Amino acid sequence: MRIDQLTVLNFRRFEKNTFEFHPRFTLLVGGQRRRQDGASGGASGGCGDVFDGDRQFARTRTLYQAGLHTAGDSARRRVLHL
Amino acid sequence: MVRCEGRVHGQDLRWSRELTSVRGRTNRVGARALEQRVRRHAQEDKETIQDERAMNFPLIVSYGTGRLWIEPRATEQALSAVRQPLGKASRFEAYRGCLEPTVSSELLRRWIKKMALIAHQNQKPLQSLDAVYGAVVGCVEGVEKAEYDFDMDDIVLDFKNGERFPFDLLSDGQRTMTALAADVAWHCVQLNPQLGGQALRETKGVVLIDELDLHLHPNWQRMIVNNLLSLFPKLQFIATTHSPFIVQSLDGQGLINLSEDSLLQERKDPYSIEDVAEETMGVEAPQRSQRFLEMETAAQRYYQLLDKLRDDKHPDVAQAKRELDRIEADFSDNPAYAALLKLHRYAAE
Repeated sequence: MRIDQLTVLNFRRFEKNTFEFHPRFTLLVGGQRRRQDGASGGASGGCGDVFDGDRQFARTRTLYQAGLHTAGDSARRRVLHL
Repeated sequence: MVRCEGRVHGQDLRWSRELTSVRGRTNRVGARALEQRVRRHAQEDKETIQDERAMNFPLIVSYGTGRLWIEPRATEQALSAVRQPLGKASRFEAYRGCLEPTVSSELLRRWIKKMALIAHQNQKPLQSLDAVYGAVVGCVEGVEKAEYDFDMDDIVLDFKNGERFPFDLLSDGQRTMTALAADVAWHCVQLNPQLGGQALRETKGVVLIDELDLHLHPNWQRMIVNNLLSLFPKLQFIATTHSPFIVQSLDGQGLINLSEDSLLQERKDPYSIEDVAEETMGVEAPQRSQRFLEMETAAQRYYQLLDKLRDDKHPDVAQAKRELDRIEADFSDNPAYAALLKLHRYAAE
């Protein structure tokens, strides 16, 4: 499993952004702390969604923790090559 | 709302989660189809391979900035992996809380202690335990050996300079990296015990790390990326950092600049630490300290004000004098600098 692309919409400090992740090592730099949280939180939330089909898989990071504090926020992620 | 699109073994799926109120619970649409697809695939694999123990599970794990200080609660389920460390506990236990941004150093300690006891009892090394020790040796600078010391009742690191320290007496940087490397390795061997000593090299998956440079000396920051990549060659790492040394060590590969300033560049060729700080991270004149830059700006302003003083008829002379006094006071901790300014002021007055 790996994440090739992450698209966030109206998420944290991003109106719309698409990130192409390197297959080995991606480093998110620059910007304020909340922008870094937005990108890494989006990836974390996307991974968490993969688990939620099966309750056995663990308590995962909730949407609230991932940064989606209001119903109006939205994020769209693409998790490829599971 | 979170909407996901994924490809699960060739089939495109969509699922979503929605939080309709801050205090409410999320609802899910499409997650059941994802679950059924995963279950069906697992069943197919089981029938094909005939031995589910041969299936490799992907690693997914996340580490936040509080990973050194926040100790998650040791639940009964989490402890089952410690009580039955030799693959008897469910492999799925390694996914429990894996996206919580913490490392349980206490659970790691208990697991390592139990494995060390088993190895001692059986009078032969355990590959999974050695793999975890190997990850610590490969990631923590200057360490040549890691082991459990029953006398100290702690994980102990032997350094190349002859020093020997238990986990609790290590520096924050060493403890952060020891716990992180051991935890990633522990997840690899718990998820795929059938791989034995090859679990670190063969396990695929995603590792998220916030502030990779946390507590690390700059020399160590320059090596950490290569250390992780060589120890875990099939894992994908996604990390954040504010360290120009880590940025420099990547040579421009896999760098995503999140700055709102679109002028900042991502260079692909090797570049100096000053170039990283200035071009990629937006630090102004990194060769000089912030204090030096302030002094430079203040001196320019001071000499502009002195020009006003020379003109007795200038309407702002009184205000210029007040501002000169303030600049002198601001830099009174640097006598040579303040004296030089005053010298020019006396000449002007």
